[in-house]
Amino acid sequence: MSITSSSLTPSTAVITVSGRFDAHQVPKIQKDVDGMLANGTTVVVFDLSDVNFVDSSALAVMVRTMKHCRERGGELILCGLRQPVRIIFELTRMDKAFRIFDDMQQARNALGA
Amino acid sequence: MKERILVVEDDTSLRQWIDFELSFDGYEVIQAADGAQALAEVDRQESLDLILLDVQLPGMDGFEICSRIQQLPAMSAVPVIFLTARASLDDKLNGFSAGAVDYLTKPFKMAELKARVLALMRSKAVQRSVGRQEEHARSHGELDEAAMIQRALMTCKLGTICCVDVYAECSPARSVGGDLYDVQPRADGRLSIVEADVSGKGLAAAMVTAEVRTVMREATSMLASPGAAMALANRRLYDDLTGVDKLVTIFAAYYTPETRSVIYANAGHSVAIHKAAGEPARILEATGMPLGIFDDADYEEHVVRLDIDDLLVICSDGFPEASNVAEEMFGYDRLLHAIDAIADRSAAEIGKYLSEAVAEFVMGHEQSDDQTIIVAKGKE
Repeated sequence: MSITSSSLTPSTAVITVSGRFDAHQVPKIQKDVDGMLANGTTVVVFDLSDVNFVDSSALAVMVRTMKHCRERGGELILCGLRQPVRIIFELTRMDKAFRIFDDMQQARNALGA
Repeated sequence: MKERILVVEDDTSLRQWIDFELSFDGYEVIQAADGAQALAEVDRQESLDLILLDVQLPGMDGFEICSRIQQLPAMSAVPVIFLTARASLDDKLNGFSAGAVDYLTKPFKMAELKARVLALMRSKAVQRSVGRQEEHARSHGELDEAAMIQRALMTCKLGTICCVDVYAECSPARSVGGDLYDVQPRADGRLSIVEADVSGKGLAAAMVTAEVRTVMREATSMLASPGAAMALANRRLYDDLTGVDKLVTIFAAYYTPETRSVIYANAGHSVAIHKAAGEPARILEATGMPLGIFDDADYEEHVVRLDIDDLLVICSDGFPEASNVAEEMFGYDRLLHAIDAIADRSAAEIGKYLSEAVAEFVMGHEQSDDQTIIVAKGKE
């Protein structure tokens, strides 16, 4: 279970989550996102290629991040959804709420980063 | 765990003597030679139990440092003892008004310093334990009352509605939680069945649950279409959900006894299962997103039948996501199989069986999510 952040461009940042993405990870993620947005990031990418499970708190923090990015004219992008996580997104129809890419490379291509 | 004392004193040999003596007595001592270092240490340390503060320091004086430190929320309860070369009444009063609890005049006897430190540490320990006990009693008493109220507000009433047998049960992970069920007759003779799951659990989720119940009751009683009711509820709840960073998944259905049909909308809710008599149980997919994502959202509706012996099981994701010590989840397959196995019993027996199956699987491992279940079975 780990969370790492990095920036792709001055306005685009990536957060990579590993393992189980649930209520325990939410405070750190929230803190990292708030920090990024305060520093001028408008586009946040969550790289979930190493995540095997998401719960409702994780989904809620993704929605929160999406709303905050949109307020700044940016967006939240998800990439690397594994099968169990994709199923959760499809079952809850949340795959319609975000821009989702198969992997980091495709996300970068789409962003031109 | 050792108690931590911060010593702020610019006279190096005095500072080191204090460190030596207090460390010998078993405290953990952190040194600072001036205001800037003191503030840096306060920032760095996880917690401090006492601060010894020289008044006559170069740069920021002790009074100013004391005020600054005590304004930080984590530091406001940390006692400060001033060390001063002056003995005037004015200085002492200044010291107390800056937030000190005690005052030692230099040159002081080490035995006196140690006695004052010990007395303060002891009174802190007593205060802390009383504080914790009070807090515990208060919060448990209040939580228990809140739990009672939450349960009392969950409704499962059929009135005169025929042809269906309904069982509903809610089991929060903590005393109170983010799940709710609400089953009651509508004015038009249909039965409204609602289950909601607020993200998170405990008190924070429970507070949102109350509003969700109110809004859903309003919406389902006013609107003839569960999809429209859901869209209205989403518009009503959007601002508040955004404000507290929460989402709600909701299953809302209207059952018509004359036609034995159920029209439903399923907002991001993963666990709605339908089992027609003689057929295997299957998952009903969501017909829209959870509430609280967009301020304007649409919800489709689907229809299923509830003929004699047909089953509708709605539960919160705490059921399939319940995990045991080996971090395995109960899962949807087990849930579907369990329903297939028990389908010929009454709604109440089915509900209890499923709850027990999960409890057995989990085997005492801490319940990490609220668990709520509604079972509706068609009957003569």
